[in-house]
Amino acid sequence: MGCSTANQSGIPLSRLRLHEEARVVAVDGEAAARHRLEEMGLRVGSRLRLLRRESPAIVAIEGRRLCLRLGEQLQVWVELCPPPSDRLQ
Amino acid sequence: MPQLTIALIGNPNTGKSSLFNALCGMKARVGNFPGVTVEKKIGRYEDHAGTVTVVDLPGTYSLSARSADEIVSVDVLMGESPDAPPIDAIVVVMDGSSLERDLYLFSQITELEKPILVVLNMWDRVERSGVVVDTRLLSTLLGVPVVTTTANRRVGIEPTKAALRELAIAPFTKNCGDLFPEAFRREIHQLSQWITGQGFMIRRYLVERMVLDEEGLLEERWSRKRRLEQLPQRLQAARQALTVADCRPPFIETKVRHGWVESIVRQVVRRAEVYRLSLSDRVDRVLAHRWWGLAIFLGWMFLLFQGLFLWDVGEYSLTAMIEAGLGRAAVGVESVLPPGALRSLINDGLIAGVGGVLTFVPQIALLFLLVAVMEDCGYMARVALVMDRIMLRLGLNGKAFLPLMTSFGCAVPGIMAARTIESTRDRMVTILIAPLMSCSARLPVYTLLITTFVPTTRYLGGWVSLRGLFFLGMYALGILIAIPVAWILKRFFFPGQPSAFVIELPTYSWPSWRVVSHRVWEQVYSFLTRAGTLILCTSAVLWAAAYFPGDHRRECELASLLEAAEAARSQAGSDQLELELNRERGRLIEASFLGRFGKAIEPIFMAVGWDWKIGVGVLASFPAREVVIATLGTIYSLGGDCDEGSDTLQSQLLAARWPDGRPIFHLFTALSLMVFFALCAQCAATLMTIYQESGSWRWPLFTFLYMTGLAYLGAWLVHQFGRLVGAGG
Repeated sequence: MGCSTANQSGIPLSRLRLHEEARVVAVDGEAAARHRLEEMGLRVGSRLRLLRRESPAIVAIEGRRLCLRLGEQLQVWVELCPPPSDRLQ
Repeated sequence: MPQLTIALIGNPNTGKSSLFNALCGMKARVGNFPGVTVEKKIGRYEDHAGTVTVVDLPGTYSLSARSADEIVSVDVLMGESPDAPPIDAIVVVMDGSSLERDLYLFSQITELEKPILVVLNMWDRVERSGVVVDTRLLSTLLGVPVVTTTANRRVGIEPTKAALRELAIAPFTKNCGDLFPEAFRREIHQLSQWITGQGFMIRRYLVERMVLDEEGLLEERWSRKRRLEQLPQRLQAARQALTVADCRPPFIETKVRHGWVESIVRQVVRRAEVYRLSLSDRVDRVLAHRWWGLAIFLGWMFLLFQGLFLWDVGEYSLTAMIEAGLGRAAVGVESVLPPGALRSLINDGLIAGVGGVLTFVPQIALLFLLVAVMEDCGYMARVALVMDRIMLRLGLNGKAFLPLMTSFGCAVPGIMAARTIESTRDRMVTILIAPLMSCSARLPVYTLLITTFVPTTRYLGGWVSLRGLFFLGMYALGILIAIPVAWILKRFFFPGQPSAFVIELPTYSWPSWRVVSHRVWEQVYSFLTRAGTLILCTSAVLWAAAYFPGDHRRECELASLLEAAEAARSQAGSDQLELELNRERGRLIEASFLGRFGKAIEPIFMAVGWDWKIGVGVLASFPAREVVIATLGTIYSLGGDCDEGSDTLQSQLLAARWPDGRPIFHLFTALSLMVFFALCAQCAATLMTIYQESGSWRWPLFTFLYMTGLAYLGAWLVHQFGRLVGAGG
């Protein structure tokens, strides 16, 4: 749907620019925390926007707002989604 | 079928409690599933065909059975819980604007093969936001009926009830097919066959859950059965085989289910493509801001505490009415019973002890109310966010803040509120430091001592009072001590990495007064029954220790004479008699078990600057702090109806002297007493709650020992410092 998967490395979520749409490519951390995030909607392939960078970070995902503390215990890797041409800005 | 039992399940923040309240009203039985901290809520309503019983299950994102609390939901839904009736149908409550998330749970529920009704709640928000959801198509795709509701406005409740009745008679059809790949299904099948081969009936769903929830409780439970000792190895082997086949548990589940959810949502939900910041987000720019958010919250807390102390004062306050009511009850007893052991037990033991608890109810109820409002409108999640950085220094995360804050009112509900903390380690540390937060029961002690010994000096043009600073200092003491204690607990008793902080920020909304008042009522009731019954028992025991042995005949004589004098309105006579009576009572307490014990261990008290009278007061306040003032009153021969505002008690304290004539009390003695109360574990109800929440006697014992030790050390240090500074003897 408009996001290329050619390059998998991605950037850490905290380095994302605010309000830009991005797609999750990896979630690193303790299994329980990762699973919790997945249950709450943040998993590989989800689209999100960063609303706040300072810890704990706030992301908008699937119409909801998730707040999470990124760092050594938990890290999310994303890649930017170019806006498709048929979308309104 | 006239009798129907349904279970309500759904993600947190979907308005499930509003739906429950809308269906059943306030008439719900709340209790506890034994052995776990999950609350059991069962309600009832009547419709045209009969009674419907509703079992409210806790909000959960998924039906995995990793913790004891989650497994309760699984057991109840499968009809295998002895504490809940078998379920005829399941209602899955979802937030209409968040199908992508809430359908995950639904996909797990369908595997239970029971009739399901989907309720899309918060529908008003969906309509306002311009998101379009094709509910008819959704119903077809899911194979179950779908209704829309706005539960907190009571919209859609009748259609829900009607749909439930229809559901009961319609057969179940599972329409979402089998989500898992062939390899997964094969492993499950093989494992099921092996278990059946060993002679056990087990549903496929449970086998799936055991494979997916590694180290979960289902695995533990089933491995204990005879002939199934091999189960853990078989499960491990299955997991490894699945990993090789690219179906690694548990991630295969999330991958497969989310794929299914996405396919449904794509067809059914049409979102406005333009991304814009919601009103909530804009508000959050301030309320969740690093500094502004914190400042606003602290300011709000300051106002709240001021209000808590000031709101219920004066003759017509609730507290005054409660005290008056108790006074009347005591008088009533006096008119019925002659002076003697029974009357003393009821008046001085039970009514005094229980009365102490009841007088706190207005304050505690207000605190519960404010907390419930903050939770229901969504602000509480922002508080956890804003406090997270500070909590991190304690080795905890933001979720630990609410239990600690509640503990400033009363540690009993505060400790219970720690159930929301997922990490067991964090939860235990929070529970163990919660009693350090100065609760309402310590306030009378602070008030008495500060008003007696601290001058009314004011600073900054009258804005800041020295006394106010002392109050603040006592509260701050608990917090400051909690920091190193939490560090030590984390380092030596609960080692491990700090847990991840993940919390959802629900959209701000007006709190529903029904939900809020219901919650406050539940909490006050639970406080009264838990704390109240325990304090009742310990008051009786304490009364006995302070009453026996002792010849009470003279006291009873005097009391009868006093009543006669009062009836005859002889003022001088009754004054004289009252004086003698109080003196006699003071003598009796000195000769009682409690008094004798206090005198025997007087050296321990003297080391921190107290005499035996204060020591007895402190001992008496061990089960419940509330009784200390009344006990001090009795010991100082003022009778037991003193309160902290009594000038006579204050002047008695000021006039108290050691045998050699030195005054016992000065500022630092008072301080050492306050510090002791601030840090000591003197509440049987709190210790009982710790036992219930931690499941073992070790922890309440540990809490008692460490806090009492700290309290004594603190009192000793203050006393020594006082001596160094040369204040008094």
